[in-house]
Amino acid sequence: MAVCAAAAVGAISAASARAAAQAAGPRDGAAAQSLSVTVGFDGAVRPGAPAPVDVQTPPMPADGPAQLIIESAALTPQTGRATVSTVVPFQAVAGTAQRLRVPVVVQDVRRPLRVRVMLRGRRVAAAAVPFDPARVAGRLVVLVSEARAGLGILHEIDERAVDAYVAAGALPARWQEYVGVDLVVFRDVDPARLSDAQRGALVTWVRLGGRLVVIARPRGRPLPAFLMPVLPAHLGATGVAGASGDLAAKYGAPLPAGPVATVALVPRPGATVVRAGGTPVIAAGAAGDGYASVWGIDPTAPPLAEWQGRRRLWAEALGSPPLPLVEPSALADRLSPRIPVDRFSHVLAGLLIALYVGGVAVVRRRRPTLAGAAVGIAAAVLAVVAFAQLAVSARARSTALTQVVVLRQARDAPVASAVVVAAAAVPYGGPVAVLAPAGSVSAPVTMIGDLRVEWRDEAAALAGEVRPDLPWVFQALAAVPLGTSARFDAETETLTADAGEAGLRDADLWWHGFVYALGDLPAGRTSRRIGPGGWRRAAELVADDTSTARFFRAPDSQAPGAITQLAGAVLVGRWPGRAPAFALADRTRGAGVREAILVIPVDGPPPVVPRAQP
Amino acid sequence: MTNAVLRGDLRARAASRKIVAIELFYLGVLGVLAWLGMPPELGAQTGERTASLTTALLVVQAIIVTYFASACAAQEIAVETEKSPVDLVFAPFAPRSIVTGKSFTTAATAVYWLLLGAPLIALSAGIRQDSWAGLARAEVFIAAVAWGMAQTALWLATAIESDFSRVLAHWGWLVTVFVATLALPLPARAVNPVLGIGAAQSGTLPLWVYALYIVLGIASDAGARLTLRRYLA
Repeated sequence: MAVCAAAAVGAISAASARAAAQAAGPRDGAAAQSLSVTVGFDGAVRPGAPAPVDVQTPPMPADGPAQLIIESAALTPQTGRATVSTVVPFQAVAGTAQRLRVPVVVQDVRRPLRVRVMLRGRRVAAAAVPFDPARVAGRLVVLVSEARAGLGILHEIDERAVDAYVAAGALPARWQEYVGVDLVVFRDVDPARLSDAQRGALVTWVRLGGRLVVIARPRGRPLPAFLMPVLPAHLGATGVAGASGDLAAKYGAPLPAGPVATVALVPRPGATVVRAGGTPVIAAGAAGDGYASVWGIDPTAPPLAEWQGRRRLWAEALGSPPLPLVEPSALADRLSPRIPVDRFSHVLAGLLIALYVGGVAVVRRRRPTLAGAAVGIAAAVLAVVAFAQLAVSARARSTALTQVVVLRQARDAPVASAVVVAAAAVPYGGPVAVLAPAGSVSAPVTMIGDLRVEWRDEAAALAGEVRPDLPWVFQALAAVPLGTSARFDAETETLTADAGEAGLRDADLWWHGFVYALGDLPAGRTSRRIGPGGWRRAAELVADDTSTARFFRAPDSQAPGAITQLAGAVLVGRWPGRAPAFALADRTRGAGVREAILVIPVDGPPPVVPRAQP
Repeated sequence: MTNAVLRGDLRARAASRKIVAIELFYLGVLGVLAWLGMPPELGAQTGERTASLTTALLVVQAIIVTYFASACAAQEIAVETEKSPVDLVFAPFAPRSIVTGKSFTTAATAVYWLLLGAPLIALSAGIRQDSWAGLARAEVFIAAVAWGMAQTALWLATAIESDFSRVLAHWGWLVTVFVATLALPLPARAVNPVLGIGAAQSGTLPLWVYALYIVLGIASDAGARLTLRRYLA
């Protein structure tokens, strides 16, 4: 199973497996065997963010279809408490232990994660995994290394920071599982221990905003080749730094006495470099929307493990918490899901009811016998089938899925992040199931009851009970290959944009609380002059509920949100190209509204906007 | 159908214009309610309301089926050519045969009417994705209530000669079961058919409530047999 990286990782003899199963008793109850479960990174989790859950089953007692079920608690405004069940189907092989990985969004860390393995409807293993309050992270730093030490100073930088030490093999194979991580540190990692999926996930995460530090140790391993596209330097010769004034001045504390082993770096153009005795030992630079650093010194090991300057070094690497461009809950508030009234089905139902009642009346009047009554029964049976079909059709026609996709092009990288928020409205209430976009990780935005998330080949199916008066709102996070770009030339006051193969509709240039309307941009490269006039306040635009700008309002406010606080200008417009989207699981036709918005970062100096702030 | 009373009553009911009129009234009411219930429930109180329109439809079905089944059994509605139990005892038929025949006639009538109403219930339940198992439990409960109540009406038909007194007793019994039981403390209140339908749908109705109406019907049958024997004594 590609989506959850399910794999058999070990096997014992069939005979011993059966013996174990008989001893444990493959049935519900206390006799179920225990599981090996690892949640998050080294037990550290960030509430609300997808966390990797790694489960190793005991040797399965028999072949057959099996399920891994992970139940996590969530709070709901209406019913108080609800459960999100993440279900991973797999094929059990008798006598073989299986390892399954799946992302789970943990909402309520006060209640344990309940994990069980079912085989043919019977529970064969179970475990309850409580969360350690000390491992619930406000900020999370993951050190990938064989040594479990060196990040203790993080608590001095941010008291909410939690350090996690993991082996390379435990890294996620989905980039979304890094979303709760603030910084990943590589130290002496053997890249051969990472699968292609793990490598791709890490690079994608960095390009979409992740922060990465690679520590190059003297006589250590070379930099992983798969990271080179995002790293700001490659390695030079090993050396020794004495009492370096550069490092001391930069980080505010003298180096410890004695020689410090270093690896000289060969920085790429544009990288920020810190030198020790003239030798570059730290290089950092943007990698897409993320930030990557290579350190030729190791502040996690002596003698620099006691260096006071490492506090500022780590603080720089950790950076400020990223500001999300859009909040799923704010997107949900702006969706205005439409609930269509299916008049056709109502008229048809009226006609069928009249036909049925009239038909029974005619039969009973013309044949006032037991045979006539039998014909009435036959008519009733046929009518049950017809009315049930009509009901299913009317329900499908009345079910609406309203969604918005916000694509954010990574700077100088052929990838964009996609936040999809969808509201499923069923005016009759009852069960509803939606399919998440392929390759995404999805979760509810609002909890209105129990939810089942079942992983299928490439995506998850989310199913739950919806109330008639309340849409159910889901979100999905995905990455899509996309290569759009924009650049502003201050001298000619011209914006040159490459809007890709689909073009951009109703495009606007956003900068510093002001918006400049550009209209439709055709596919491919195009240039537009940005005159001094024509700028409007973003506050006016975001208040317009018919404009795509409404999705950039701050949560619970009429004012513009994080888009006005970005470090650079952005080009925003409707994206007519293909974008990830939710789909109703049983929908063959019916109402569905989708808006796709593309945000492209603008390179170059920012345009000049009116001086008055909005 | 070896029971002559059952055979005669079923033929009488199949040919009866009154029964056809009852069926059209019953299907008309259910049809109008099912059709009016099709538009989405989007009122301000929708979130707080716990019972669905399907449950309301089932309650209406239960009231109509129970009333007409018991009214026919109590001779409150005289079906053309259908003999009363007291007339049959002088025919002469054995009291056991009379009561058994009448009992099966009532059961067949109630089940037939439930079947006729099923398409309209299916429309309402299908559009709201109500549980089919819950619907089946509710229909079984309605059948048990209708039969049990109708057997009591049969006993009243044998025990009370005066038409007015019998109708009064029949209505008193219906009001007692459908309304007065709402005043009972929990868990005895579960015997109320209106509450019982919702509970049966959700699977929380205790089995003893189903059994209670069956036992009521069997006991009423026994009472009717005893009463009919007195006519022969």
